[in-house]
Amino acid sequence: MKIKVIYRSRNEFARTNQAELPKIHRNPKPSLHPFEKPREYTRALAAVKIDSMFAKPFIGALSGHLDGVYSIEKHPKNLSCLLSASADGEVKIWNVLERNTFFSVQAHNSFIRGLTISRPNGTSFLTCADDRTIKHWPLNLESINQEIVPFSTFITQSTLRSQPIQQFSWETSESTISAKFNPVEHNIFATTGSDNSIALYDVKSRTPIRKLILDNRSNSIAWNPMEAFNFTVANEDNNCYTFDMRKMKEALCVHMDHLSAVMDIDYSPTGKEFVSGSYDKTIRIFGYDSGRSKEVYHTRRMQKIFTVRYSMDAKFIFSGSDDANIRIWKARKSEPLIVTSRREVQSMRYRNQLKQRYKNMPEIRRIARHRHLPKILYNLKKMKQEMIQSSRRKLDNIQKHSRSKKIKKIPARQKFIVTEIK
Amino acid sequence: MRKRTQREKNRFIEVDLEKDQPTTKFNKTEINKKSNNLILFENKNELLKKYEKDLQFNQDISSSDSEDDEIEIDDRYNNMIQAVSNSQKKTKPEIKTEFFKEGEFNKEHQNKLSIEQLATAIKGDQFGKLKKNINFVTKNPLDTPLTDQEKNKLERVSGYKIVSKEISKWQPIVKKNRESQQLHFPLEKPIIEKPLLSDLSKNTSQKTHMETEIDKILEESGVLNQDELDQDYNENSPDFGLNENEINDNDNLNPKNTKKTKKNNKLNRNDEFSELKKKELEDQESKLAKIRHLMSYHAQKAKRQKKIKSKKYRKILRMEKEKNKLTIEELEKIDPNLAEKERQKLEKKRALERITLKHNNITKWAKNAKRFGKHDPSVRKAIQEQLTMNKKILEKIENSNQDEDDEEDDENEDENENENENLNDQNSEESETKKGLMGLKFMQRAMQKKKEEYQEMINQENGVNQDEQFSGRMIFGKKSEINPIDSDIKNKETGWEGIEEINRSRIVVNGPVNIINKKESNGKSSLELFEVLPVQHPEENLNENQNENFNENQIENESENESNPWIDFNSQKNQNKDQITKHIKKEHKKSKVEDDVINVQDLDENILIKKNQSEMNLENLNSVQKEIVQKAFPAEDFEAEFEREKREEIEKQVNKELGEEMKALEGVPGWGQWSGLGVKIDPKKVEEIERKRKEKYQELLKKYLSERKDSKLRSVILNNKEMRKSKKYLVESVPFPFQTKEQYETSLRVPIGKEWNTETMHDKFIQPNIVTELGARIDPIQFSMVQKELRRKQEIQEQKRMRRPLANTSYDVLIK
Repeated sequence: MKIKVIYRSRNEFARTNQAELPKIHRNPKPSLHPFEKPREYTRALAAVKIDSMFAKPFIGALSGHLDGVYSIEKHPKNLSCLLSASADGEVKIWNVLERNTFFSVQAHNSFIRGLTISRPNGTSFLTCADDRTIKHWPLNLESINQEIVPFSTFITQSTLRSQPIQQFSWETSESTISAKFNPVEHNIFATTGSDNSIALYDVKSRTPIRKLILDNRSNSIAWNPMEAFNFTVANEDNNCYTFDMRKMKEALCVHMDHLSAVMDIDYSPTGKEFVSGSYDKTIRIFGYDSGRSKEVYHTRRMQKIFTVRYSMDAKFIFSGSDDANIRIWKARKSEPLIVTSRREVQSMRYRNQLKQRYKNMPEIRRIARHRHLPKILYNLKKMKQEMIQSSRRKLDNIQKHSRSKKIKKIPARQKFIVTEIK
Repeated sequence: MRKRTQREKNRFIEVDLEKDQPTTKFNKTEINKKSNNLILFENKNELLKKYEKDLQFNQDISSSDSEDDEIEIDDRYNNMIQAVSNSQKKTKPEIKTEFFKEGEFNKEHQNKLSIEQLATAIKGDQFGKLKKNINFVTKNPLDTPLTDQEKNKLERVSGYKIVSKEISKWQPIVKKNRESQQLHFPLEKPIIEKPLLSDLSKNTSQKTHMETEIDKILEESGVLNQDELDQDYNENSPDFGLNENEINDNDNLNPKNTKKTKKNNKLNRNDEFSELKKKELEDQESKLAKIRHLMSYHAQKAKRQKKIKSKKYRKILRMEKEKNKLTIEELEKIDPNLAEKERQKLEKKRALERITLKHNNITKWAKNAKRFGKHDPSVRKAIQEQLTMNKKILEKIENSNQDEDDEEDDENEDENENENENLNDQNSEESETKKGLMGLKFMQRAMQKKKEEYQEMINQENGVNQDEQFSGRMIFGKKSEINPIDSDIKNKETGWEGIEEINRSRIVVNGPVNIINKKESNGKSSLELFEVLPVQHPEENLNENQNENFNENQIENESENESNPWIDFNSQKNQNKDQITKHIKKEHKKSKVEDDVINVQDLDENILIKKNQSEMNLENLNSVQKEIVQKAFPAEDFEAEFEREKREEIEKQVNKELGEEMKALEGVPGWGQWSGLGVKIDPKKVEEIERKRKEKYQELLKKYLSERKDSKLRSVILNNKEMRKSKKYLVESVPFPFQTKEQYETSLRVPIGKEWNTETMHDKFIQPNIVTELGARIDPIQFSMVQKELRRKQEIQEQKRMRRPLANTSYDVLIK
């Protein structure tokens, strides 16, 4: 009895050397492969569906803090190291790979407002808290079990005030909410202030250089690590604004989709997208030049988000929220994390390309854009849309019926700017 | 009035002095206060003129005190001048803290003292130099020191300018990155240095921990001295360390094995490690080398020979092989199994020859050669050769086993079967062993063709046999065509019209044939018999028609359509010529609708009558067909109906729009007129509305008629409705980066799938814009990194440039 077996002879498929042309095991005759466009369209449709079917962005949570996590910082060298500070004054250094802590320190006895790590090597970190002190801590991942003591403590508001090396002031009394150094041009840094301002400073020339007053307060600022002159601010008015620091009269892009104040923002190391966490309990991922978000992440137990960070390999997102948890997310919702074969990679790339190609087809667009939102947010979104539309309509009507045609429509990229202070 | 204006003038002049022609200022706060007044003046020149006038006026004052009216204007000023210049008039010295009197109404002071005026007071020769200096200072005044605010602002502005200029160096890099097709992160790849060959060789000579230990022991025991050991390690020949036993193995050519053995060998290296052995080993090595050399030589030779394409060479090779071949008898002695196989092969060959008669000069070539190449000796020789070959093939086995052959001759059928089996066997063999040449596709195709040929031949043979068995008049296929006229003649002679042609799909019948459906015992009805009726005279036929010859079940064949596939018109033609009516009576199943049958019957009668007038030809028949169609589908003017439909379609559209327009025209009830119960409606108004409606209607109709694309197409209605099903595949507007529809369509035109592209192109098409690697840290971009990259690219370009001229010259040479 003969048994037919499907087999694949290595001799037929393996190339003897690199120079040899790969064999084609199919007939390339075009008449045998008709309807290319319809077939690719259906493939694109399937790809979009597959994409949302395999979307499992939530990886896990790092729990251990006893109070809300208000600041997170990633290690500039070590991919698996993550620092977090909570409202009870505790700082934890996490091993993300194992999902446990290297060690933790009771850094302050009050609310830690800020946490940052030294660059480029990440050998120390700084914390500032409501107790009006800044502490400088050593960070050595090799000697984990040692109890660490701060190098130095700076007192900011007292008679015993520490002397700063440099001081920058704007002749007005406003408090600074957040500050970030430019990761590319190290002499420039930007702050956001309680007077709804964004201010730029130059360390080299020892002066502040420009200030922009907006309609609302900006909660956080992030520089694009690949485009030295661009930065984005997370604003209280539910939007994020990207600016070119050389042309501050208008924003490069207005990123809107959040339904409440945006609390924190961080750029992907590729500079092509950024992540923002909001008071509406969602995380959103935006393209650096897209007005609408690519992605929205939320879970039922996640509370208001106060801090977000991209991992240094641009594959993960960390979020710290009010519920004392740090959550780890995938930056691309349906990307597999396991090692994939070349064939699989090729087919994935093909699918992505098809999606990109047919993204404007109504059906594909609908599926690709669909995201589930909690009911409250969904209703809020609808309400917001309605509000925007009605205000737009109102403006249109005013324009239509006013005798003097002086009322001009201000573009959305300028509307929120009050003044630019030189 | 005049005084007041003067005062005002003075005030403005002063402002002007301070602002437009900067001088040394005494009071900063005053400037700020004064600045309000600037707005009142628009023209600068005007100001200047006034200033000049005023100066004159002041001088006048200082020179003469006679004008009492004007003393009042600037008395304080004059007083001061006088005091300074020690004028003759002695007045009571007043203590002054300010230049002007302080008071409620004196907030704004008037004139100010200038340095020039002060300088006039200096008298004496020794102050000449000082005067000069003062003059210089007044002409080239210094800038006022800026306020902190202003200073900071200036610093900020300049700082901003510098920073933005500096940071603009990133602009081209950012632009390039944004526009690039693909970005691979991290941008700076870690440089992996390839190890040099020398480094590798160094590593090989290094001793492992165990090796050093063994050496130590050996050294201590005095077996080897250090020099020897070192020598050992430095020798790189892989065959050196072979054991005695292993040398005999040919597998030792594999360097991996030798490496393994090397280690073992070192462990086994004991007392018997003598020079004698060393020599032996060297001998072995040389032997092996020789074998290796020979092997490679033969391999190369075989490779070269394999490539020779010459037919002659191949023929000679084949002949040689043939010559060296053993006969079956000889083989039997050596290897009976092999002989048996060989015999079977020959038998198969013979059987094939018997079937195909390939060498029996029946092929096309042989036939042609016989015909045209009779006189060509070479051709004749070739034919003869073929015949001998045939004989040879047939003979060979006759000698070997005659008995079997005889049997075969007797039973023809059996043999055929055998052959079939053989063929089948062959098939199975082929399917099993499709390797080498037979693995190629075109060879397989050729084999398949050949097989089919054989199969056909075998079938034919069988078929012939069958034909012989049934010696009737049934003929199959195209060959069975017989000239219909001939048969007609025959029929005439006999007075019978028989079966002319029987095909698979069509029965052609000449003359009246009665087809009877006999019910068989098991209930199945089958066409069993063609009963041929004798020919009747037309008169008789007519009578029959008029009488009860037509049953409901009997139907004239013609009444069905012209296109009835079962009836050939040729035969009808013949019949008409002969003025013979024909009836093909069929028994129909009762399921057929009776009305139809009756209708058709009526028609048939008419036709029959017409036919009987014996003036019919084919054209007539066609016209008759038309009539039938018209009768079958009672007269309807399709065109008119179509027109009507089209008009309705348009009217529907018009009415829809008209309704909306009229609504607007009539307005909402209650607006513009009275409404409600008891309100009289003005008939004039109604009339007017009606008139307007008509006008509007005509207008719209015109508009739609001109708008519609099918308005000029007479026989077409274009559906203007939206197609819901296709809407899914339509993009509403041209998507963002594209500007025209065509651009967008071209972007979709070329498929990117594997089915439509080569592997490389497909690969190129599906490349993502951004590639990141899991676990690869992406650091912020650095200018040094970018510069390095640029430098690298420049180097590559330079290298290319260095190469290019060479290529160009060679190309030029080629052209020349």
